[in-house]
Amino acid sequence: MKATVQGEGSKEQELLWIRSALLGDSEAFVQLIELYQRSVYNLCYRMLGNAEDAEDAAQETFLRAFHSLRKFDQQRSFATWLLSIAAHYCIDQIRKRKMTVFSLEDVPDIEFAGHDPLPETTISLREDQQRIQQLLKTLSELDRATVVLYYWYDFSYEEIAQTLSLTVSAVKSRLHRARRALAQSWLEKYPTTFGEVERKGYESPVF
Amino acid sequence: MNHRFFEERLFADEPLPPEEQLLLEEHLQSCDRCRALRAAWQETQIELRLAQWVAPRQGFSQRWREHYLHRNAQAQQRRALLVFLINSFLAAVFALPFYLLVAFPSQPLWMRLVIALYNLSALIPLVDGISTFVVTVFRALAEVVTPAMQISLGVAFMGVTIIWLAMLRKFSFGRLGTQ
Ligand SMILES: [Zn+2]
Repeated sequence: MKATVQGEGSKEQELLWIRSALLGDSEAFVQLIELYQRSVYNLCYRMLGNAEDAEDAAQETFLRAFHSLRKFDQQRSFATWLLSIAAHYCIDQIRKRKMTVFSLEDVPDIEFAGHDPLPETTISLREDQQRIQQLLKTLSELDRATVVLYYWYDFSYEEIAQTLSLTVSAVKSRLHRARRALAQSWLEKYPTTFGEVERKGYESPVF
Repeated sequence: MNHRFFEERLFADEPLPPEEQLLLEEHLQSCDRCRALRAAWQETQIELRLAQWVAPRQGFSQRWREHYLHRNAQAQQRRALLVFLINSFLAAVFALPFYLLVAFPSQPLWMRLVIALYNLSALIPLVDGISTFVVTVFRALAEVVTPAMQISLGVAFMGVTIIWLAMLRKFSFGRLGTQ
């Protein structure tokens, strides 16, 4: 299936880098960035929907993490801590954006910047990305983060709860709600997939 | 069982108990909407499982280094300004009582304050006035200040210097503050 959070498996080296970074060694922190940039960037990308915002958010995440490294509990997972900073930052950005832009619909869709193509994007992949990104966009920011952590990062309910500062039961109900919302959006966006009968059935809800 | 009950079951994370599963299958036979929803959810799940990880452009950590240095420089500038402003304020607080005492030795305190404020307002537009003010203060100091006062003045000056050095160390050479 999908890769789990990058950088697992070298906990001792990771801890050494964290301790050096705590003493102000920014180069040790750069090693940690090399290890986790993909995890953080992917989360930001899935949350914000375009490469430019994802880059800014990921950069900001690592700056914040370096500045507040003292607050990191070394008994816990560094990846979870980083992703928590990234998720909260992205959620804030989306909320701010909602206040300035009238609706998320007005925000341009994914841009695969022509001069700076994403390393592993091919034409067919782009279509998939766009489709999944369109679906994610229909979710609220917290539901979106929950779905991304669950499906891309294979996080458990407990890990998601910890990352997003939610209770486990809140995570469960958010996931459940998000699944239904995603399916509904899929039906709305691609009704032809399911033929005329299903669509008619869908259009007359029996609530 | 109502339609809502089955719709809930369509998106359950854990497998359903066999009897509920049976009821659900039965309902799906007769309900177009639930069937469409289930098919949509299956498609969505496939899409979610196929979705790739997106990587940043090459040179991400180098760009981070540049951001970090830039932020550091900005923070350094802000701290330098802060230290300067706090010290200017301290210096003014320190100088005011002596100025009042020396400039208007015969007036009551409140009167000295009023005159000082008036003079100060007049000084603001005159760059020249500031140097005149300093010269006057020092000339007057030399005449009026008693040896005991000179000692206390020295002690106060040393105190401010120590505070200043401590602040300079704490704010200017410490780690980058939270931003
Ligand atoms: Zn139904």
